[in-house]
Amino acid sequence: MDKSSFRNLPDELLEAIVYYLPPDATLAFGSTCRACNKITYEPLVWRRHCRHRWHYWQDKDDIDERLHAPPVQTKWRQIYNERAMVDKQALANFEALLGTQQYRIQRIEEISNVGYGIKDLFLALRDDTPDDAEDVLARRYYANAVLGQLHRGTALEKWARVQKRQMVALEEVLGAYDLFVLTGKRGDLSDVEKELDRLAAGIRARDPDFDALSIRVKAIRVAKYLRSEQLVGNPNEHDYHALRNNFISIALFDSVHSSLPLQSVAIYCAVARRLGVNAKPSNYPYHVHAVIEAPGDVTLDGKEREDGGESTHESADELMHMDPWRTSDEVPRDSLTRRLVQMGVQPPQHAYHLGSTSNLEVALRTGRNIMNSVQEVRQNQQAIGGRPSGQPDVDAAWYSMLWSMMILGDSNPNQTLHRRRQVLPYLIEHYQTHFPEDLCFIEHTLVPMFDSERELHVLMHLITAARKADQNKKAPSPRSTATSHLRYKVGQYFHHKRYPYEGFVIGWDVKCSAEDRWIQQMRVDDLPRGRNQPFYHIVADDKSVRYVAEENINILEHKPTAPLMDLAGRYFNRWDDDLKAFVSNIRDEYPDD
Amino acid sequence: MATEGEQKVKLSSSDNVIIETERKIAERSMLIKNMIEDLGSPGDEPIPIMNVSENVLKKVLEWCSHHKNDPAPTQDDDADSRKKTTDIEEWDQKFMQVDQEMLFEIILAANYMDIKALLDVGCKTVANMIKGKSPEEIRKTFNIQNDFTPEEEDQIRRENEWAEDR
Repeated sequence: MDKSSFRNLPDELLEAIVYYLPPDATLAFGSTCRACNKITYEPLVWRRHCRHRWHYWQDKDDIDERLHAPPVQTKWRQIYNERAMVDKQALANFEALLGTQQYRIQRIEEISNVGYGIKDLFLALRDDTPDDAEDVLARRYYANAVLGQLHRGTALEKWARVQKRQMVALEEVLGAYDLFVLTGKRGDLSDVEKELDRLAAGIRARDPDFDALSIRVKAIRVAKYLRSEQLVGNPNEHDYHALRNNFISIALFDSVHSSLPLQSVAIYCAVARRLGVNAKPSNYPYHVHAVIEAPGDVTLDGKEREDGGESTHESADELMHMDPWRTSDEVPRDSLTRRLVQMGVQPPQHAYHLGSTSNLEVALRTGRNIMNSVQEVRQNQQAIGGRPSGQPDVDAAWYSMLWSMMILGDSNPNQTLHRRRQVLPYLIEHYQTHFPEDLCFIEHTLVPMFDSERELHVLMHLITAARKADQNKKAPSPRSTATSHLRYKVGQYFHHKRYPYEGFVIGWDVKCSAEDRWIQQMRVDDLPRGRNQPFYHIVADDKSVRYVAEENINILEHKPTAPLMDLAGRYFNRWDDDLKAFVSNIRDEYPDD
Repeated sequence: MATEGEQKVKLSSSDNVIIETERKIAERSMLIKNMIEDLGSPGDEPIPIMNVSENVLKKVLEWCSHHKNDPAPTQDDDADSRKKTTDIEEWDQKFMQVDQEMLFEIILAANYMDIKALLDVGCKTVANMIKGKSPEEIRKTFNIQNDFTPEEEDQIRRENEWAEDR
């Protein structure tokens, strides 16, 4: 044997080679002989693979701690194996989910219940599935559905904690709204947390003596920094109510960092608190400020307190206000008081409005702001038509508002129940239309709320029916001589002859099989071909499911627009340029279409 | 007068052959650079490169000569954040088209002479020879004896379960 063969390399060089191997090659290499096997057990090898392959972790704090500890203290290979198994099982379940409509909702639940351990995999399925994949639309659609449910589940959990008066950070309470509308790569709570940490570190780095400064100077430095980085405020004031301004992750991560005063204040407070400044949003009417309280023993200017720390927060030594949305200067207390007087607020109420508010109040205020913004968007949509680009999804935002109104409430149980009753029908309708996969949230969150109330019966009925529909095999509608007169097939794309919308066919009946009342209301019998012509179930570009007579369908043959393609993933695998139609993924229901 | 980088340096290989080169080229090797710094100047005595034979040393110096103007590597690269690509630039790829014995000699020499960039290129070259192969193919490529007991093989198969059918 010659002297410089592979096996003569010392361990440290074998390690250097293994450093450049991807996980599967590392395993193959480790399976060749004992010496190579030993090398692939080095904890650093698998620590590196863990970090490269996954960004999100179910127990993030645990992983952060392990990453900071010496590598040998953690069984990184075991962690890698376990997580890789989780990915593998989730992927198998996802393939099964794509294959049949039966148990589809249950499978989405099973996967999203695994938690953040599946997020990286499903981000890749959603964002990296190639355009020419056989089932590209379905794969992206349902990967997104799984991610959506994972995110919303996290949001509901955070709000439930706030409602129980448990500790939840301000940025999490608000970031929970963002979890409903997330579409990009970043914006999850852990991303927001990391970004706020980064900003706080940036402020410290700019000013080596930062920690020695008084609270008042620190408070102003924080505002100066955030404003110089254009992370707070709104460069386009005419966009004040724009829906996007309600979401702190959009304010942080979008190239245009615009936000409402409340979101600007939240970002300001979150960064300031990381730097030892006790900043909270205020109770001030209409325009939220940040209130900064002096710590117990010193004033805001760093002098020792003479009264021995009996704080009343009445003096300017102990309480200051900032309006980072508008300026990096301190807002003088007398100007705030003057405006309160102008608004007709009685002096005994001033201390309340100048004081800090709870995270729960801030969350409710954001819910109301989102409601206003969505209503404004819908009005504009009717006026100009079409969906404005670069804005969060309106239906998802509306859904976030409904859930927050459902979960969050004051301490008065009667008022809370009253509001929940008001919200319930809207929430149910929105869930059924846009998020039918969220059945588990209806079961686990709503049922306990209406336990022993009159709504429970209806709720249980609805849940049982939805479960059954998910568990049952779809009754197939095959083609036969009885269907030979149908002109169109599942997957075809059309525009309505009489109404200005486009849509695609997801089902058919040989003749109109709606209830008589609907037939009369819609004046079906006035159509030239009447009620005995074929009728089609269709999805329109406004996301609604409709029932259309054959004679009103005008087939289109060009590739549908992007929003319609996104919607189509719920029923179809891909668009086929030769067939000029979608390739069906509901063959269990329409086997011959 | 020659600049410092153009000063002549004499190296003595393990088989006692004296090779003359420029200081700038020789100092791609941290081993040599540190020795020269300790001495204050290259001096007339050849620097002994004890573990590297003439043909390998010449090959290594060929690499150093081609890369003599490369920027110095940055020190701050955390082992994990380093770019983990096995891309190799074209000249280096050609340079590494040698038989396996020479390849491993170069890696050993780069390690001994402390030439980080050359060591990386060598390791990447070997890694590329491993990637995409089955264990049996890897054994064949590098003439590795399978010394596992059947029990050990079983255990490895269980541990690698996640990677099956991928």
